[in-house]
Order: sequence, then structure tokens, then C-alpha cells
Amino acid sequence: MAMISTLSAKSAALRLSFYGPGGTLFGIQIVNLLLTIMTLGIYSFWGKVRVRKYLYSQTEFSGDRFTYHGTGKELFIGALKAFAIVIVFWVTVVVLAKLVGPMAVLLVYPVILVAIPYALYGTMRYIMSRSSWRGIRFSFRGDLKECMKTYIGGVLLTLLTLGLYYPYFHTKMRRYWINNTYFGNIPFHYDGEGKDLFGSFVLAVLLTIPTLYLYWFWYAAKVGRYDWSRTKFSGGQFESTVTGGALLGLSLTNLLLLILTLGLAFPWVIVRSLKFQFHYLTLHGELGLSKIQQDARGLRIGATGEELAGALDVGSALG
Amino acid sequence: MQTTWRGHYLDGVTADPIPVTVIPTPHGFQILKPAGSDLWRYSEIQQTQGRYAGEPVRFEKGHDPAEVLVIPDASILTAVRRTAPEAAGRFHNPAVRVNRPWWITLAAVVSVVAGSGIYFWGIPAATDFLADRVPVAWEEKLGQTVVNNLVGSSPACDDPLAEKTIEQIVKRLDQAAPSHPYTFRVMLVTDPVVNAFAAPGGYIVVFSGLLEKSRQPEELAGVLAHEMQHVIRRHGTKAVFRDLSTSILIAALVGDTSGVTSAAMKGAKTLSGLSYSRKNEEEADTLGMEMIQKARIDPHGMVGFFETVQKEYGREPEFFRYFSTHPNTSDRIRRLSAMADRAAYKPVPLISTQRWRAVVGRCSSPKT
Repeated sequence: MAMISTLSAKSAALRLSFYGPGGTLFGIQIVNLLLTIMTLGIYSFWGKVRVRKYLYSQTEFSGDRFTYHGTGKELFIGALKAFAIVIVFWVTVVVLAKLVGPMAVLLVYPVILVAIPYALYGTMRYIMSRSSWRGIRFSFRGDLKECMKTYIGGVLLTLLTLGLYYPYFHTKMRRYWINNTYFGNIPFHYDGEGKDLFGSFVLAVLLTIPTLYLYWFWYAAKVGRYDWSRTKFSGGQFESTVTGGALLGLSLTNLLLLILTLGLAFPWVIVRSLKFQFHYLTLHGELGLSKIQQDARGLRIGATGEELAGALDVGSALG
Repeated sequence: MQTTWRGHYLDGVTADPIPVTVIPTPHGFQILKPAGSDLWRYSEIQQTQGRYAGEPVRFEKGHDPAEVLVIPDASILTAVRRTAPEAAGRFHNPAVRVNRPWWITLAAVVSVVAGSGIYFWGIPAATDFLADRVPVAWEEKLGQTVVNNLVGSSPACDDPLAEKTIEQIVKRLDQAAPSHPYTFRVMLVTDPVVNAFAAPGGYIVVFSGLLEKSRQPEELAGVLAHEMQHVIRRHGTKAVFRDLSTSILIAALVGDTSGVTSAAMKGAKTLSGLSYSRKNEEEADTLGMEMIQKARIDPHGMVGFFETVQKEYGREPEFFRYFSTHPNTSDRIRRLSAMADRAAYKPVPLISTQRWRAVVGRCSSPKT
């Protein structure tokens, strides 16, 4: 039981490890592809679940694997609902365009501005409620109104300030996402401030052209290190040592792999990226795991938000 | 032989793992905890992890939250199959992992075969089936949209004589056509383009440039016959359907619902571009020529028109032959003139040459 005793070792650095070989993921995705073709697309939701279950069960933290509890049926129902929402919306726009005139199409922008935070919120709630470690569920307990306010206000302010507000928007959103995320009954904690990133952000904007956009990798690394240095769980402090050069190397090699294999290397790219993230991320300090209690809120949360996020192409924005 | 396995138990309430020893018995797992012993019956247990090499085996009992048993050594699965054969079906069999590479290869091959089968044969068959059952009223609406999109800005040529002449030609062709539910509506548009197109539901748009390049009414009749066949064979409706369903299928494959929205937009694009497949063009050529002959119109007129086009736009390089959606003009001329040469009847003239000359002059393009 060596793996369990590491828990009590007080300030040893803990890290996430990913064990899965890319080849196994490739096999899963090929079989998913076949079944998806055979069922004219319907299986893709169940396929997505198989991939997630694999990625979770191959990820270990402190001697235990993560578990994904979502089902294909939930995703399928969520997709049907998201599809219905999109259809109803388009029909409304078309009808309005007939009644009011072509200006009604402009309605699309405010609706999308509302739909994106709603979808992100739904994704976060769904994914967290379906994730567990040591049998304890994660959960997201944010308030939808606050999400809307922070997101819409942030987008508008960013537009008004010609992008200068962006670092503040980033930290505010992250504060909202992280501080409302719980493991069992204990919340995560993030207290990043936009002003700490503002200087680097302006520098990155200025260096965009001279460095042919490459400086953004160093900016991304800096934000990554900063964000994790401001993230805590219970008595534990996260730390990332990622560098811009490493991020650039990962992106270039991934791109090269995909091009050389005509996209077939996609599963390996996923695995490499996960291993990369976990390599640079550590957690120090006393987690106080004995204080943690199951708090199975949100087990009945549906997947509409997530599928709507898919429909709007915003899923990746959560990172 | 190994009879006990080490692992840990999670109660689903706290995050503290409790070290346990597990013994597979004929009825279930005998679980020895520091605080006592417990029996998990196989019928109450689900295996949720441990299907892949190196992955600890995870058993769950109950729901929301479940109690959990984690055993790093997957050989316990083989032991259960031995001690309790009737419970074996509930759990993963590590022996099948050996076959996985074969299944994956098979799946890859079948995916490619099935994917191309659906793409090249299944979708066309299904959409053609559906397009053949679309109510004519829908097609007319669709056609109206296309016509408005494409010629909305060009001025109509309101010349009664020219319109009447074209209508007369269409009527004669229509009488020779197989029975169909469409009412042909011809629009004459002032535009120097040498072209005509058909939209779903019976709309045919003729640009005045075409009128001027047609030396004889029989040449115009050839083009009209071709366009009328696009309508009768529902080529436009089929093209829209096929485009839509292909995008939807691809969207479904990559599990991306946003594709559905873009598919709707792409369908709209097809409408405005209105390109037919090469096969459809050839079909319209052949059936149009048959219609011409049944109407006893001089078949060399249709051939003559394409010869004019070829002179006007030059020969397409051979290279494009296999990539272009439109048949190569030389091929068309060859095929059509072979059909025309086989015709054995005395052509009945459409209208007098005098009247044709009058029509051609009537609707000239505006000077730009």
C-alpha cells in the first residue's frame, strides 16, 4: 500500500500522471468512427463518453485514478435539446426577418452573446458533476446570473477598451470558474488580479508583429504560471513551471505530427498534450483529504449546456 | 494459486482509502477490512475501470454515491471467471485484449469501405429518393428564391414578341416531354451573358446574350430542352438535398452540432451557385436531345449551339476534364452530334427565319 502512504507525507509535491498510450486511444477512436458511420452519427455521443472514460481512468493523482460518470444517453438528449434550441432560434430569426425586415438578423449577435456564457456554464456544471476521484464528486456551484454579468460585461468592456481590459476579463472569469468549483464539500480558490497580467499583456500586444506572433507562447506560459500560483485547494498550493519555449515546442511538434500523418496522429497529440500539462503542474502542501465529505449535488444536471457549447463551437474556450 | 488480492475500499462519503484484502468466492467478493469483513455479491457489482492494460480494476456497488473497490492487479478478473463462471459475463475478460489489434484493423478497414459506400452511393440514393417526393409547391418556392437571388438585379426584357416566341418553343418541347407536374415559366433577362438556367419548379431564365448568339431558333430550342430536363429530372432539388445531407453527415461524424447550422448555410449557397453534377449535365443533354427529336425539331441546332460556345470560349484544357463539374464541350458536341446524325425524320421548322431575325434584334443588351 505504498501509494496510499504518500498521502500522509506532508509537503511532498503531488502531481497528476497520465498513463494511457496513444495507440489505445487510437483504437478506441477507430472503433468509434466505425460505429458512428454504421449508426449514421448517433453513436458519436457514446463514443465521446468512451474516450472521456479512458482519458479519466488513465489519469492518476496520489495513487488513485479519476472517474468519468457521464453517459452517452445524457449527451444524446443534451444534443437533441441543443439542436431544438438552435432550430427554434433560426426559425424565430427567419420569421422576424419576414415581419420586421432583414434588420432582424442583427438579433443574432446579442443572442449569441447570451448563449455563449450559458453554454459555458452548462458545460462546467455538467462536466464537474460527472467527474470524481476517490469516489468523491466534483461540482460546479456558480450562479448563472453572475456568469452572465461577468461574461457579457467583460466582453463589452474588452470591446470598448479595444482589448486592453482583456487580462481583467480573464482573471475575473477564472475567479468565477475556479472559486465555484468544489471537490466534495471543499472549494478551489483563485485570487488572480488583472493588474498583475496587464503589463505582460501590453508587452505581448506590442511584440506581436516584431516576433511574428511567437511571443504569445511566452505570454501564455506566463499566464499559466501566474494562474496556477494563485490557485489553491484546501491547504494545497498549485504550481506550474511551464515555459514559452516548451509550449512553442509542443505546438510545433503536434502540428508537424498531424500534418505528416494527415491527422491520423490526433490521439497521440491528445496524449502528448495531457502529459505535457501534467509534467509542469504540481501541488504542494497539506490537502486535508480527511476533511473532505461527499456532496453529491448536481447529479441530475443535464448535458444541454455542453451540447449547446458544441453547437456554438465554444467548448474549447474553457480549456 | 493466488487466492487473495490487495486493494482499497472507498466508502463514497470520504476520500480516505481503506486498505482491504479481497477474496473472490463463488457468491461474491469477501472483503476483509481492518474493522471487519463484508460480502459484495457479484449481482450487485459493476466493473467501471480496468479494461485496459495497466489500469487498476474498479468495482462499484450502489449508486450516487457508489461504494468503490480498487484492485491494482487485474488478475482478479481471471480468478473470478474461474471461481464463479456464472458471474463472468458481468466483468471484463482480460483475455480478449489480445485480439484488440485485429478488431481495430478490421474496424479501420470497414470504416473506410462503409464511409465511401455511404458517401458515394448511400447519400445520393437516399437524397434522390427524398427529392423525388418533394411536393411541387415546395420546389416552386425554392425555384423562386433561386431566381430572385440570381437575376433580382438584372432588368427583365419586356418584349412581347421575344417572350411569345420563346414560350412557343417551350410549348412545342413540352408537348414532346414525358408527363410531369411542372408549369414552365420563362423569364427573359437583359444581360450579355451567353447562358440560360433552370431553377426547381419550372423556372427557366434566358439571358439576352444567349438569344443573340443563337443563329437559329433551333439552337435556342436545344438549350431550352436541356434546361427543361434539369427541371423535370429535379436535378436542382437533388443537388440541394445532397449538399445538405453530406454536411449533416460529416457534422454528425465529427460530433459537431455547429455543422448543422453551417450545413443550412451551405444549402443556401448551392441554391445561389446552382451547379449540377457532371452526370446530371449529361443526362439533361441526352434527354433534351431525345425531346428535341420527338418534337421533330432539327437536332443539329443543339449541336450548333455548343459549337458556338466552343468558338466563343475556346477549348478547355484536357486537364480540367476530370475535375470540372461541367462536361467537356468537345465531348458534348461529339455525343450530341452522334445522336443528331442517327435521327431519321424530316425536321419541322420552329418559326420563320424572318421572325427569328426580328426577335434577335428586339432585346439587345444595354450598352455598358
